[in-house]
Amino acid sequence: MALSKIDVANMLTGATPVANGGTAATTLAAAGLGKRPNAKPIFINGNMAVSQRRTSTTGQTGDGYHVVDRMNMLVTNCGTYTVAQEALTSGNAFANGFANAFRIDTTTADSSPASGDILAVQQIFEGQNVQMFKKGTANAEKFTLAFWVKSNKTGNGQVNLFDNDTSGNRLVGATYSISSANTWEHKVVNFPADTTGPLDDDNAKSFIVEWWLDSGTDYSSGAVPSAWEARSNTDRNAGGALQIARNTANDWAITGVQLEVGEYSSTTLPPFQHEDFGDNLNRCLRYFYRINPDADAAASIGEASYYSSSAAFVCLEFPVAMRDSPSLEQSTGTNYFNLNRNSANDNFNTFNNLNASDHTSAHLYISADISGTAGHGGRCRFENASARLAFSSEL
Amino acid sequence: MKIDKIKKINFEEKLICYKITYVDSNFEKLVPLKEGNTDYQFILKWVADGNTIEEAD
Repeated sequence: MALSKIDVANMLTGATPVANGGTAATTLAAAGLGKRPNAKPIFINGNMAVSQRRTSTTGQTGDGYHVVDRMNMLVTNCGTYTVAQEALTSGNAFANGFANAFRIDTTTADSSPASGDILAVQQIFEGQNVQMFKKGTANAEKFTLAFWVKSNKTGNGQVNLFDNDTSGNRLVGATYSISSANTWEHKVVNFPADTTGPLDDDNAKSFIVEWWLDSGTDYSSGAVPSAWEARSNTDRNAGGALQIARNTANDWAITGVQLEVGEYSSTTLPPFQHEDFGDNLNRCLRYFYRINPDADAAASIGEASYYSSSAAFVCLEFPVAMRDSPSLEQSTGTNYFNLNRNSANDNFNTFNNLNASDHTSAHLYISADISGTAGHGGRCRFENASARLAFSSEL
Repeated sequence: MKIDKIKKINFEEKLICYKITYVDSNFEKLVPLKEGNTDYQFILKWVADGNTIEEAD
């Protein structure tokens, strides 16, 4: 919907602004713009543009944030996958402004998953970031989840909302139908409000959106939970028939994910909130911060100082406050890092200690392979393009 | 990735973090002793499941 001119007079009177030359259907309220309580997208990195870790990885058999930021994959004894940030150059999703997607390809099939096997993709939310749904109150809001999806498989997939705070957890689900193979389709899924179980107003794991792609009967022998219920695992993939794990020809991709407060249809859904890349990246950095994402062999890590003749600290401040005190993730190897001081260089293999870490800064401690003078300063940098260093505060 | 071991890391004889290493991998994690850290939560569960953290050097 293009708005060529806004009637400012209406704004001054408090009436709903109307697009000049438009119809009633083109009012901002009708488009949902006047209803959003959230200034930023609730679903982070919904356009799949940020992928700090890598753009593709093969042989994935387990859980983790393998590629695209904020997109967590659950795999329990259920096949092997290539996971990628797929660059889009054609198709309906691309034509609607999405140049990237999160994609999995089955490379080793599990033709008959055992009862407890799982294949799912999810995003996990801090409770303090989803308070606008007023869950657990008399004023609880409905949920709308919209996304672009593509698969070689047609049929129903199941997507759930999961309350991780209420004792025993709560769950609601719905199915979406993929009508045409290998074709980007836009889905709008509605979920009811939940007046039971408020979400904690904190930085912990409270709320999850989960797409189930395959499973054993422990997760599929129930019924799709169309109303909020106490969690029953057998319901979580009861309506899912995509069975992505079962053949190496299978793939599944998603982009343009938006989670909205309230109930919308495909015609009333507010437009996707496109952020610029920097804003999107900054929101992702709260959960994961990779130093030197371009893998420059000599990129800077930070200023260092010698604590003793054989040990040094590197003090780092994170570019944004992280969700909680992060773990340091590193790939180590012979001479992967370097400490340059007093006209000399020491190569070293690993950071030995994570010291005095909080959600805004950390001290990295080196206690092997270096030598210097206590009190001397220096610079710490990468020495090998294969070295990786990151901080993770994922949920 | 399959965990090889989890080890205590001391600084000046005080436990300061844990190190997780993985089988057939040069990837490792240094995990702070913070309840909100999900790797720390994982370590607590790993121990509750009957596994043992290796003592510091």
